[in-house]
Amino acid sequence: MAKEVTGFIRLQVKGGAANPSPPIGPALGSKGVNIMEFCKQFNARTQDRAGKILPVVITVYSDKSFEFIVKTPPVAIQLMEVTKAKKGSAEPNRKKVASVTWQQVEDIAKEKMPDLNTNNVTSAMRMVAGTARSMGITVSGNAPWDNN
Amino acid sequence: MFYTSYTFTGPTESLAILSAFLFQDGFECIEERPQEIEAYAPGTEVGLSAVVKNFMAKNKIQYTSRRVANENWNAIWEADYQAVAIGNECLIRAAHHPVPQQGVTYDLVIQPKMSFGTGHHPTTYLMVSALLHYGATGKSVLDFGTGTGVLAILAKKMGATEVLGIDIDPNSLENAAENLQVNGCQEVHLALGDLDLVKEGRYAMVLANVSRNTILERWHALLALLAHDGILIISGFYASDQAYFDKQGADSGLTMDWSQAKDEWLAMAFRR
Repeated sequence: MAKEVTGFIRLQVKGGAANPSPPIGPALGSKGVNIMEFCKQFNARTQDRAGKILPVVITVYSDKSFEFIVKTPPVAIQLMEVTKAKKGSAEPNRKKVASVTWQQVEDIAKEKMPDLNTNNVTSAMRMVAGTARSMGITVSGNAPWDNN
Repeated sequence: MFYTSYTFTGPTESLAILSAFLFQDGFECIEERPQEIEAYAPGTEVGLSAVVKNFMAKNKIQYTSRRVANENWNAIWEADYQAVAIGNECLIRAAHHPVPQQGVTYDLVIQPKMSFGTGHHPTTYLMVSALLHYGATGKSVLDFGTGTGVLAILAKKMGATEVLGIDIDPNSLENAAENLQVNGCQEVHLALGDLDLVKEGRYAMVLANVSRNTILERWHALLALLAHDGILIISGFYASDQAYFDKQGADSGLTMDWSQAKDEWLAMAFRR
């Protein structure tokens, strides 16, 4: 018989750095999950991405067992890394802190595709570009779909 | 010890971006829930940066903060965990489990309180198996990343002469001290910190159930503390990572003396 799912926990954790401090402790502990078991597994599985901010979705079952999937770093984080912008712009519409190229937008879109609700690169790129604009990051040049 | 919790509410897309700014401000981990995210900072309220505040103002994000005392968040799981038998020799159980009637050589009582090491995890199981395989009578033992102190306690009960357990986590060390008491192993020494605090001594047995990177980064430091003909026992990594340690061992002129896998995890022992 399939185990009954009792809940999902969504976290953003640095690779290799899960520990029982909050929010991990209270989020998992309140559902009766063995926190240390999760931390050991997550850390072992993310040794190659140590220090990277990784979204993780934990499925908790009625017998307090769990499974989890680790996703690719959030788009906003990837944009920050690409631009090396130390801080986002406090005033996104007036003061642009950094810019990215459409090629970089495409790279991020492709990396993030497995986690997005689309199989269409153009849609994914539009999402990434939208996030960039919200963060005060300019996308330089014309969008590839404007050139035709 | 307490934390300040921040809960931000607003549109999901905006919260996704806010998360990135919060990480830049030094927050270590974020929980996402529908239309809200929660992050914690140790101690009193930290000021949110201008970037975060301005982004919140422009994107209709509100926040509330509250003080949260540190507690044993693992209490629900710990309240009814199952005792773990490793072979016929060793039982790891909670205080509320019945005392084994017969046949168990080493009866360990562990109340983990968010520390690692109850025997449920395959790596603890494998480390215990390695200790049982090698024996500890008359040996000096260093337990790096002692957690609950489970391996240090077992080593002592097996007749180790001198046992030192170290950990970088103050909660673990406090917990290990309680477990030493419960198991009558107060002679085990505990110290807070990394390997560099072990200034002297060569141990006949060095135990390290931590993680792949932690062991690789400290490989030479671990070996420096290992006596001639001593045994280094490592775990905390997947069997798929074995090649890293095969190479480390070969490069250091060590022979792999023992290894065992359980589920997808691996423990290895090297002899100097």
